[in-house]
Amino acid sequence: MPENGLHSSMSFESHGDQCERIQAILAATADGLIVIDALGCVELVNPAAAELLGHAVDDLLGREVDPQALLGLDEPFENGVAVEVARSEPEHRVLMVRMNRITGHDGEPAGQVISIHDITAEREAAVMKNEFVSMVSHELRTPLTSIKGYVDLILDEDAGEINEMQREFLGIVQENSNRLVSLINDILDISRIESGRVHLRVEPLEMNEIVQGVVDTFRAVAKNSEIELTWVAEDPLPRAAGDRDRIGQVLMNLVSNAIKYSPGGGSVTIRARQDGEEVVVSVHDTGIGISAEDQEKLFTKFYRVDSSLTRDIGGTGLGLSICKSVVELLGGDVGCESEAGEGSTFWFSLPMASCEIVRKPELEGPLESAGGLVLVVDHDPSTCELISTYLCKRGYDVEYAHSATEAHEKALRLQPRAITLDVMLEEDDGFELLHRLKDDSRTCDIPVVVLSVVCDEGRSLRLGAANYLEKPIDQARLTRIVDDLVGGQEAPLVLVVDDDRSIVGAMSNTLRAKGFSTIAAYDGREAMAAIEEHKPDLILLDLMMPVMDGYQVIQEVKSSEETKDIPIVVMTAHRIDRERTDLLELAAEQLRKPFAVEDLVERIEQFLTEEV
Amino acid sequence: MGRILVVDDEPHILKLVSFSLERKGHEVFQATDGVAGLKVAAEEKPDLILMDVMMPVMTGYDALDRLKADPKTCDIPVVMLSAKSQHYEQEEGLRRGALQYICKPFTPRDLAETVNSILVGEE
Repeated sequence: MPENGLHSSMSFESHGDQCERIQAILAATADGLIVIDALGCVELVNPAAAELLGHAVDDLLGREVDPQALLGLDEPFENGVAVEVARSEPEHRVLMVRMNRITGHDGEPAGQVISIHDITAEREAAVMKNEFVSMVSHELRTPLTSIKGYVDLILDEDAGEINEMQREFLGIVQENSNRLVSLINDILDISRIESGRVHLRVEPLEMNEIVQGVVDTFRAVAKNSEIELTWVAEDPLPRAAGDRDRIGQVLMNLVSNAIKYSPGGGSVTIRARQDGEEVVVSVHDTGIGISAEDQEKLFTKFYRVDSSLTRDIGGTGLGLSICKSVVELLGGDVGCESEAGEGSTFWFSLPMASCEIVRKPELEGPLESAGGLVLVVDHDPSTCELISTYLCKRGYDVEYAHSATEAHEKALRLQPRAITLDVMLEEDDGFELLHRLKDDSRTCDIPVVVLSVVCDEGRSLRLGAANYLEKPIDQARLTRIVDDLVGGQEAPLVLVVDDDRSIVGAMSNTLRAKGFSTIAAYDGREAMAAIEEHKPDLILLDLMMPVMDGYQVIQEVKSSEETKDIPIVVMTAHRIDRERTDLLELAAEQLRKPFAVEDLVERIEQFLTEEV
Repeated sequence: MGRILVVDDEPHILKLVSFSLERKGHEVFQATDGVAGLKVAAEEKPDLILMDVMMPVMTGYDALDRLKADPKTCDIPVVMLSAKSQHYEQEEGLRRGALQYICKPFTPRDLAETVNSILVGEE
């Protein structure tokens, strides 16, 4: 048996001595050890193993055992992988158990060794540590309430007048008690994260919204520190999966650091972009930069870059550590890139929301375009195309104009039903164009929707714009606005939900030929996404679907104030689940498959006219 | 100006809150545990109760439950004042029927403003 050191060093001794030695070694080992032979019988067991499992050594020796059942595991052992198991018999214990296969000389399986390590005390210590931290932080708050409260009262001169020096000194006490409060909050936060007691509400996040919110929060602070705060958003940016509050907290932390460590006159730039199946947000500053050595330790607890600059900057030294834990809990990553003197870039990434990775259901317009002509004015050809895709799907014809002159000429000549206008035209002023269109009796009746990256709503409307939409453009809002302006032309929108794609395809085509717009969804989750985004006029719904079935869709649609009035027509080939018929009663109508598509269309038409 | 009951087992905090509110012209009643708080609440029928959570004899939550269960006191708004600052702890307070939940440490001025806005809203 040459494969481990223990045996090879004893190979000179007689067989009997060897057994004695092995017994003695096993008996002296604190961890439990069980050796099972090729036939599945216990060959060796030490007292620690017997005690941990609540058996006598003699009960186990020679007995045929199933290792999984013996240790109380939910799943079979995997060779060499340690698993944690909680046992209540003979007493509460948490064990780390591992199985290693023994292979014989001939390469055949020769049994297995199971090691059992008792980690009950460690687990209890971790729980105690967290309870302790939580208790201490509560206990600290009480005296702090008095210190802070009475200092606040004196500073407010509620206890009589104070002189300037007293004000200054008490101000220092106040600042430091505030710092203690942040420290306590951060420690409590870290302790909760480490013990896994933090509740994360993961939902699809519009990262641009979060960035915008954080920028708004820090605008005044940045201005006071004479730092230019800007953000660059990739558009469109897929939604990330994360916890809104926590990710806001992470970004606030990074931006707050960036502002703190940048000298006056510098700039802080936030970027949100897509990278593969992740959304990455980075914060770049023009500060002094961080050495490679410090970069490694930045995300550890209580670490602060030691330099003359940082000493007078308050902070707990826990912020980045909390950021790292939160982002990692959400399945993302954090990091920092910097060169001394070149500023620093802190970034975090989050996985893309799963609904972004599955297909995003797209709206398709009626087969014959019935909407009329829309003139799209934008200097950027790719934006023109994007808007055109949105509008064509909705049944409109689209014509482009890239300059003010071209736009005015086309508006006169083509008399479009509506105009979308990006006021940031390359060489001309969009507002001037808007003014000219509204001033000319031949074009003044054409409704204009202003699209802009900057907030110009007031000015646009004053100049006669019919509506205003901020970029990035929201497809649903744009089409709704145009539909409203053009008036009466809107094709009713039917959402077709079925996991059988051929049914969806056939149904959609028939409906589109009859002048409906359609969206296709192949499971309940896709359907819910489409309902949220497009607010269809009617839902055609299959019941048996993967991921999320039709019953759940009915339940969700009918329980939301915004969607509960959308009629649902259920189509099913199956017998209806008796226990869930109450849900079906909420749906408007049921259709048994197979049915004639023509028949269906007629009933949908009836339905929608009744609704109106 | 209102009649306000403050319940807290910490004498310094009791004094801090009382002082801040009296300065603003409110009449303040004090109690140092839940049982005493309930007694004063029943006798004085205050316009508002500020209540600590962790107290001896009877906790603030037990007192809150009884206040809300008693038709004579169930309409008095209760604001919890607690060192328990976690989100779920705040939610628990609101779920049990507190009007607001203020975390310690608080700033006396903010507290007085909150009290004022509640009293104005109640009128």
